[in-house]
Amino acid sequence: MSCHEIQMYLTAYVDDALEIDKRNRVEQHLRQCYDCQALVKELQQTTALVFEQLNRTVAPINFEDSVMQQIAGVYQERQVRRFSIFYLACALIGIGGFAAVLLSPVGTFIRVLFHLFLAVLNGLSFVPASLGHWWMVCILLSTIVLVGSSIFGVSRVLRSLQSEVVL
Amino acid sequence: MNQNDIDLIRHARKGSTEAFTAIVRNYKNFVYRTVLAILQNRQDSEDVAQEVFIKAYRALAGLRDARTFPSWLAQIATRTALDFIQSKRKNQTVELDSEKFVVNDDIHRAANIRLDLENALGHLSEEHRVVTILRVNGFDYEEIAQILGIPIGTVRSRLHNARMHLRQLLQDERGDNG
Ligand SMILES: [Zn+2]
Repeated sequence: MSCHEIQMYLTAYVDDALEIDKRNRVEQHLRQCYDCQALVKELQQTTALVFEQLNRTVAPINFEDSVMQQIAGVYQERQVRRFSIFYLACALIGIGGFAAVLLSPVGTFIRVLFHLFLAVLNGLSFVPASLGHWWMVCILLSTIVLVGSSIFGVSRVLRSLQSEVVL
Repeated sequence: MNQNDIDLIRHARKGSTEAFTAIVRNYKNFVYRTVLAILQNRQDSEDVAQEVFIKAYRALAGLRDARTFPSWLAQIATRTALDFIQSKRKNQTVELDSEKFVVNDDIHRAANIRLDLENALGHLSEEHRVVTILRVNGFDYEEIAQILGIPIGTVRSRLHNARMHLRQLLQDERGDNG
């Protein structure tokens, strides 16, 4: 191979990135060609210098903090999105479930129960009106009975406790 | 890539913010260096490097194999940086920046300060800067080909042309300074 052809491979040779047969051919040429040897030396120097210099570059101070601040924003945004999706899904499932129940035979049963409940309420609301002023007397009497019996009960409990302590 | 990093990535993928903080700490120089080599502007590079980590955080769940994390991250970094150049070019503010660079260069020369290699890299084309910084970051030719989605032969020729150009720049510099 000519010097020109060999030189195309010299950077890869310096970087140790040649397949074995190509490297052998390059090395064979280098043994007999001082020009190419000189170029290899220069490329090695250039490579060492460039690598050393560029590897010295470091990120600015506070770089990490700025990145993590932005990451925190992204994280929050993501959590909010996750929760809103969760709530939306729950709401959809709830509404869907309710609709399904209402449309099913169970729904009919629930509707009947609901109507029954309404009817009972309605009926109860007529009780005071039909009794006239007597319902007030009924409530008053039952209250007196309740209060009296509870006072009696409490006093008995207190007395029994006292007698236990004395004994 | 060590086992500790692999564990960190696995934990971060499950949603641990602490693990991701450690990843940022371990890879910030790698990402910043890559972005800076491509953009050649510190202010932009800081913003873009941050964007790279945000993108990585968002996309981490899609990373199949934790061991491919460095090339995956390098791919995000190069794409984000190259996209940034594209969009900047569209907005035509890049003109201003290159002017700034010329001024900077003149100041350097005037003060007879040694042309540093970061600037030398700035003399290369985007394509050459990208392959060079990926190589500096320790990727082999095949990994670079995968990261950039180009044939390995193209990687080899770009790296060679870039290295020859850098060699020339270093020689010129030595020549200039006597
Ligand atoms: Zn030769």
